[in-house]
Amino acid sequence: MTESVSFWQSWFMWRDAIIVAALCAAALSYLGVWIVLKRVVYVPLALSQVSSVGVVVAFFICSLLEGHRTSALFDPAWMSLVFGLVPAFYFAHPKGEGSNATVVAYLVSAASALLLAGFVRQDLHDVDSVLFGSAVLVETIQIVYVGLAVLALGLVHVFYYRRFLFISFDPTSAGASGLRVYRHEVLLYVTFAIMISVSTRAIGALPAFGFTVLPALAALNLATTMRATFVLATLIGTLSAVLGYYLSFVWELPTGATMVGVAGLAYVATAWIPTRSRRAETYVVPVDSSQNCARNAS
Amino acid sequence: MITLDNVVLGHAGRPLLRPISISVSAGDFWGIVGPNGAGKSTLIKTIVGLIPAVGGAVQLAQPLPRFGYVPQQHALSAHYPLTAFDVVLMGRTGMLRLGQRPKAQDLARTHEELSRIGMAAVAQHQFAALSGGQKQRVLMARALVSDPDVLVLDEPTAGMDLPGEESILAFLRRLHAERKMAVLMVGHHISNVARVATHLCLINKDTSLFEAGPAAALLTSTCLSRVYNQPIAVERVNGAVQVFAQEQPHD
Repeated sequence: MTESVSFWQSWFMWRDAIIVAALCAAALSYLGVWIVLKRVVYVPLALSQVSSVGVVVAFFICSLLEGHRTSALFDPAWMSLVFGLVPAFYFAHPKGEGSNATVVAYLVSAASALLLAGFVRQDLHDVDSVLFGSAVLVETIQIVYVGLAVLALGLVHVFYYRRFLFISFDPTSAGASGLRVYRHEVLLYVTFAIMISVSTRAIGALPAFGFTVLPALAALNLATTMRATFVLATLIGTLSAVLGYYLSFVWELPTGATMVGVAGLAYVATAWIPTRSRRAETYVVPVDSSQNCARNAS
Repeated sequence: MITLDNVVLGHAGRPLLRPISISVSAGDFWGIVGPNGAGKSTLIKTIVGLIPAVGGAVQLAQPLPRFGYVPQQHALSAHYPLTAFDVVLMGRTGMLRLGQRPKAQDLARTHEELSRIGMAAVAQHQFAALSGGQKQRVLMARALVSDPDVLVLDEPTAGMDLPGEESILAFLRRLHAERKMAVLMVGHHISNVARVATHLCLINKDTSLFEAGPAAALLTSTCLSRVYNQPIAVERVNGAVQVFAQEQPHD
């Protein structure tokens, strides 16, 4: 009770962080439905890792250009976005969809970030906080970044929802009907890249990845229509972020891990409920053994 | 409607076959047959524009014909929470403007195609829970809901039992007679293809063989034996063509 009171009393401290976490969770959980259905769950990991190389490169260039005006061009936020967008074009291609490409991108960029970080003349803690966010306290500017990313995502998906569904479910038929499959895949993956790189910086790598997978899986356990799946995933993600934040305050737990833990519990809880696939079982007509030809013949 | 003039089929610039030429007119029913990996799917994907030709050009009539494509049902993911109705409605996607919701006319056409194909009763059932034959019919309804000029089917009876195969073939025969659209059908069982096709493409990239023409002319033991590179017998049983693979002669 005391912790609860002090949480609300210090609301002004957490407000921005909770708004950012809820926005990121809602958007990533929505995108997670596409990611899970397209079976590309390693893509968010790779995208967040590649965009983190952009952050380290930005710090590295800025430290080289210290005092030069041009250093403002290499803002870590922009660089992470640009680096995140590049692999999105490759992953959207049928050749890049396989897990090998995503695993290679993840490993190479993780190694590059670590190697390059050694040359950055800045406190590593600063680099880490920009790289992975903290989910506890965020700068107010993050609300603007995340808000703009969510707005862009919403607009693209409102206009392209039906096309994204067709090219994801059956790209061959979509292509034969005249839709430009690769262009639409690129657009879809660009929305993944933007939201993942912005969210990784705002709330951290673990919650960003967790929200792209767990709420979508939980929603798919319950829903029988695409619309219900998107709505449920978004709700589960948003509630997990807000509840996780609150619980981490009350029980003094790591915030990102608590949010993911709550989303994980939601998934486990939905796994106990009779699932869509079980409800949709087809029935086998029992065979009348008197009609058995082999038996009659003998 | 569709003319392939010395077209070289292939992947990533590598040719599969010598240049081929065929001409598909409205009302034709083409069966495309050959062994596994012979290049049948490459041919239809080249015709519909999914794979660029390595050489030559696929010429399409003006206005451009609309293609309705029916994939193999087991190639689709079973994880999408889509009803049979949702899947058929997808066929109208290319006719909607960006951001436009399906109109009453789109919904009515979807109902109409589901009813025509005998699937109205399962319209609100999960697509993933339907039987193989039901899924194939729903995918046909999806291809037909866009009012195509050319219906392209990739092994529509693959993995089906005998009654399932028979009902699909009967439906195709009826559909072709009613709508007079061009049909391109890739098939594994030549006997089945022979029962519905008016024209045949025999294809085998391994023997560099491609023959196209009226079905009656190509359904001969000599032609088919060349395509499959083994003795094939062709017989007529109760008016229907039956094709049998014979044992290879031993040395």
